[in-house]
Amino acid sequence: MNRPTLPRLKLQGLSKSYGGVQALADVSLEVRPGEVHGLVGENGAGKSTLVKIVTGAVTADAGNIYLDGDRLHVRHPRDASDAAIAVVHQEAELFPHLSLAENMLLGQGLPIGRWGLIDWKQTYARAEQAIERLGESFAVRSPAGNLSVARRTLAEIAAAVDQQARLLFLDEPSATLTRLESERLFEQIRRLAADKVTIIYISHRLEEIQRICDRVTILRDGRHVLTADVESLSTKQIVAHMVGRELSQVFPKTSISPGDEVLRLERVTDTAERFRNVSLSVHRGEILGIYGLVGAGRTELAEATFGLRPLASGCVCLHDRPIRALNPASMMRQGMVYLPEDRLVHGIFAQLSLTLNATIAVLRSWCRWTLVNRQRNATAMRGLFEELRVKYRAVSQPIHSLSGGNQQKVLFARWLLTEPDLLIVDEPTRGIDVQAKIELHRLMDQWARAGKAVLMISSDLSEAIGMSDRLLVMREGRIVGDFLPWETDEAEVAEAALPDPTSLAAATGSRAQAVAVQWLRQLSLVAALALLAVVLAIAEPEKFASLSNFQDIAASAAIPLLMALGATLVIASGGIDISVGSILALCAAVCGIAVNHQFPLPVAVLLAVVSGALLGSLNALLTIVGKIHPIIVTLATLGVYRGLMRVVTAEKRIEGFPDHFRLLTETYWCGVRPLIWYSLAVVVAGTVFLRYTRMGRSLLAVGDSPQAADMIGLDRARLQLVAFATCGALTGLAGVFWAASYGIVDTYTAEGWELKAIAAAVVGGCLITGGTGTAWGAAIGALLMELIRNGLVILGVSAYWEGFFVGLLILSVVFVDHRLRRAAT
Amino acid sequence: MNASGILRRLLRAREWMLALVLAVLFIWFTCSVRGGLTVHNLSNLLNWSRHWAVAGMLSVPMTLIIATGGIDLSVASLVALGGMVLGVLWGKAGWNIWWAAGGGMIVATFGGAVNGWLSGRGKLAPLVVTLATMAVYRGLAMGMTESKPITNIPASFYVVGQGHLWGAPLQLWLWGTVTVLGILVLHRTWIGDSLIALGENPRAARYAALPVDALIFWLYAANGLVAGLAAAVYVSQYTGANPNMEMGLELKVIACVVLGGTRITGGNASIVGTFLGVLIIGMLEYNLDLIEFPKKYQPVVMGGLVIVAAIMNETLVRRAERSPIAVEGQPA
Repeated sequence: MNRPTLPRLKLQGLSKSYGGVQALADVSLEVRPGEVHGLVGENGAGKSTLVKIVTGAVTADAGNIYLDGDRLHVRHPRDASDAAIAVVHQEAELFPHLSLAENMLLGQGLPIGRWGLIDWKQTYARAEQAIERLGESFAVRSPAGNLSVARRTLAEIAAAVDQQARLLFLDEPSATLTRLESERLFEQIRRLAADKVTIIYISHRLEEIQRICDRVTILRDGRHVLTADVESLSTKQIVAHMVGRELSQVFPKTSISPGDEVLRLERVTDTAERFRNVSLSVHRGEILGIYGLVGAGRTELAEATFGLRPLASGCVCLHDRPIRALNPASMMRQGMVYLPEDRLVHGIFAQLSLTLNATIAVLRSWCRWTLVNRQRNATAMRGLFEELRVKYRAVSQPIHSLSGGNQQKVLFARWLLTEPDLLIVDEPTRGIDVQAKIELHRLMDQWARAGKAVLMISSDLSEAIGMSDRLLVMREGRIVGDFLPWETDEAEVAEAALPDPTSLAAATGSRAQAVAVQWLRQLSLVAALALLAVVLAIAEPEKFASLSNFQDIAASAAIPLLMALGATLVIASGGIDISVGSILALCAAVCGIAVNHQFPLPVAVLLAVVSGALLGSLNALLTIVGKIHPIIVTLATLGVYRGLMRVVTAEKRIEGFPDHFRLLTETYWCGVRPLIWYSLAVVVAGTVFLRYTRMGRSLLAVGDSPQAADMIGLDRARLQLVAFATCGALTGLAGVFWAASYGIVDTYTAEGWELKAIAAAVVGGCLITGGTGTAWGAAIGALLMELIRNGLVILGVSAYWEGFFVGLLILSVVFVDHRLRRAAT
Repeated sequence: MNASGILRRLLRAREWMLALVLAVLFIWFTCSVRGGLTVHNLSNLLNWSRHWAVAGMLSVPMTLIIATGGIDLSVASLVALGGMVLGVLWGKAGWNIWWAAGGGMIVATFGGAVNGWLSGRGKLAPLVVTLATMAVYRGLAMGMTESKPITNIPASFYVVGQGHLWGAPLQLWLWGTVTVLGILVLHRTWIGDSLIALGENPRAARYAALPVDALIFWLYAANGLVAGLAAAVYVSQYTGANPNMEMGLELKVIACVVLGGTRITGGNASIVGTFLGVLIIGMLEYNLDLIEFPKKYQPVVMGGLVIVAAIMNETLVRRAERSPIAVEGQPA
């Protein structure tokens, strides 16, 4: 073998099985440098498993991978990216709260500038350049969660190109692109290929494969069928190899004359404007198809019609009656149901039985005195499953143990049982095997023939044409075509569905505001802080508006602030720590005892901080190793640490500290109380960490989307450990300050303060679900809570009301946050 | 069928295991108590068990709440609020003590309903909502009387928390009633099935046209009602109310639920397990007191117990999910 023909990628006998199912069996393959190699096969043929193995997302059971002749060991996504292998996923897992630029560059490492800190200017510039190279331009600073699917895909491709990958996997990249964007993509692919980059192109669009690929590999049922030059194969031959036989897809559709109108939509627009001014009507006996690309607003339209999404204007009429209360339960009662697109996320209850999955919607109406008759339900289900030809063992088996097609049949059963007049089905046959597909089609036809109505959403063109009585085409939230299936052909329908290349920017441009909204939120917190201060200053000028009072407030906010910053780190990384009150007490005790035993001050402080870090790490270890939810772990350690503290102190008060220790929080520097200086230092350090270090960003990323973090190979366990340990260390430091400023530590020290810490973090803009949080936000949260306390004292309101007002503050903040987030999406 | 077959079998195995632990604790008790297994000692234990009733009652609705993937951190504050309202209505407003108890229960129910409304209709995370209302309700309880306790409630009210019925403390009967009702709701009604489904996949529950918001609303309201009942028991048992009462109880209640085998992420529930969990924690505390085990070490033991239980929960469930059962399609 001479040098130039050494394959870029060589797979040898790759096998992988999941729990007894062979996903990939002994696949061998060679791909040359600079080649565009198509990879095709039906759903479940093993394409995605192959990609996952080579990119390190899963490990093969057997087989070898060679890159440019060298044996490649990929156990981890990082190994793949180190070897310059990149992958662009069909529907990208991303970090919704991080900026687009960060999403693009986080996997390969954000650029580092001076002092080892992240260079944001360069980050944005590089991301912008990468996107410009694809001939696009969009806001790289806005959170990625606000971008359209098409733009996410483009951004991923741009990032992969920027990374100078040797081997690039493109998994259905064009599924969401406009024609113009696709053309640009193909141009890029050719250019990359000319630069000797190898591209493996996965697509269901065979015409694309034939246009841009040099060779093609066909997989079927996890096995390699053949690899050949694209020119030597016709589309028909490729399809034949994919399905293993000549394909003659016959749709069991019988035509029927439609009856009365069941559903009418009159110029409906949803609040997020995913669709606008849509009008349509569905009649009895009719299957009305809606065809459109992903993101055209079809699913959103169906969801809104079923009451899952708010409408801004327009009218939904069932049986000629306008519906006022649009919610799923009432729509179901009035004879309309919706089979969702995403079976796993919105359809099945994975761990629950087939019976419960099928009867859940009718359960209530089947009950007498709210009591369930399980025997009867199970019997009824056996009959129904028989009729629908569901392959199952027992009606009590969990639904996740069925294949996709059978799961879908059970979901069909769920809605059949409600005896609806109108069934909306969203991608009813996506990702299921051919046999089940035909049966589901037959079912829909029977359904329509029985005088019911069906609204079918599909992006499978042959299904849309083959099954519909009438076919609407949706594009960018509007109905743009109305076809009679027997008078049209695939090309005409597909043409109508392609987005207008000029309108994409307009559709997504308005979302760049999301960043601004977040700033506005934080600014209004500051404004609230200022307003409260002004009100207090006017009400009680002597007591409140003095410099020393301000200093008091800021100083007493120091301890909650440290704890809140710790809580922010933990919550932002996707955890929670409710043991910090006990950690504080234990560390304060340790520090106090050390000081009283004449340890030098730095040693005592260090002891407290290190014990805090250790206690925090123990929480993290139990969470990670024991795989227990952090609430439970820290609920337990809350007691354990408090108990330890009692042991350490022998249940005695620790007091009578030497003066030099008390001075730690009493010596004014430049006329400012030391606790304020400490707080400032911690906030600056926290900001630098969370904003300007790779580790800080990774920590946020892990909390934002664990799946996406796995995809780019972030070490989740390590980052969580860092978050918990830092939180513990900060709490330990707070313990030192507690001992120094209050001069006493007892068994009740900081009891319940964990909630104070979490509350301050949440008020400061830390989402409880992870992924967001800033140091200065935590500081504002702590200050605001302290100001409320101070205000109550000054206004002469009993301090016992403090909790009441703080609680109301938290509620109003999370309520506003919730509203803002809904407005932003 | 409530949970899947495998999960149910597992839960049942787990309940047997808990019963075994309880039996061991009981044997330990008979060994360490002076005089061994005597009628006198047993009746002492039975009398003592009235101290478990408040946590026991609260753990029933908490099990259901956790099964839906939610949590209620505000229960202890609700108990304090209910107790203080009772006390103020009786002591300050001069109501009849029984009417006052009713008033306390109504206010606690209302407090629970607010939690439910915010987490259901309001679509806010229950953890944050109840964290906030924990402060709000405790603040109300404290502010109402400037944190002064209410004492000397009339002896006619003692029957609730100190009386006996058929040989057992009255509150045990109340606790038992709540538990049986909880089991009925969970295993025999559409509500139980719907709550489990909701915890298993909250999004799918909405798509399956379940009345999600209403379920959550009523569940948290019911939790408030039970908290109000527990408040009445507490006030009667300790002959008064104080705003600091039952501080930290929410954590103990959650610990009992977890010990009982309900997963904190929702989708399964065992009220029998929870019941055994309360008994185990109660017996353990009793035994530790018997052998004069230092009080200061007790939280360490309890914490360790919860961690061990939680690790066991997870490993058992994971093993069940991994075991090959009727896989005839692609992997999950």
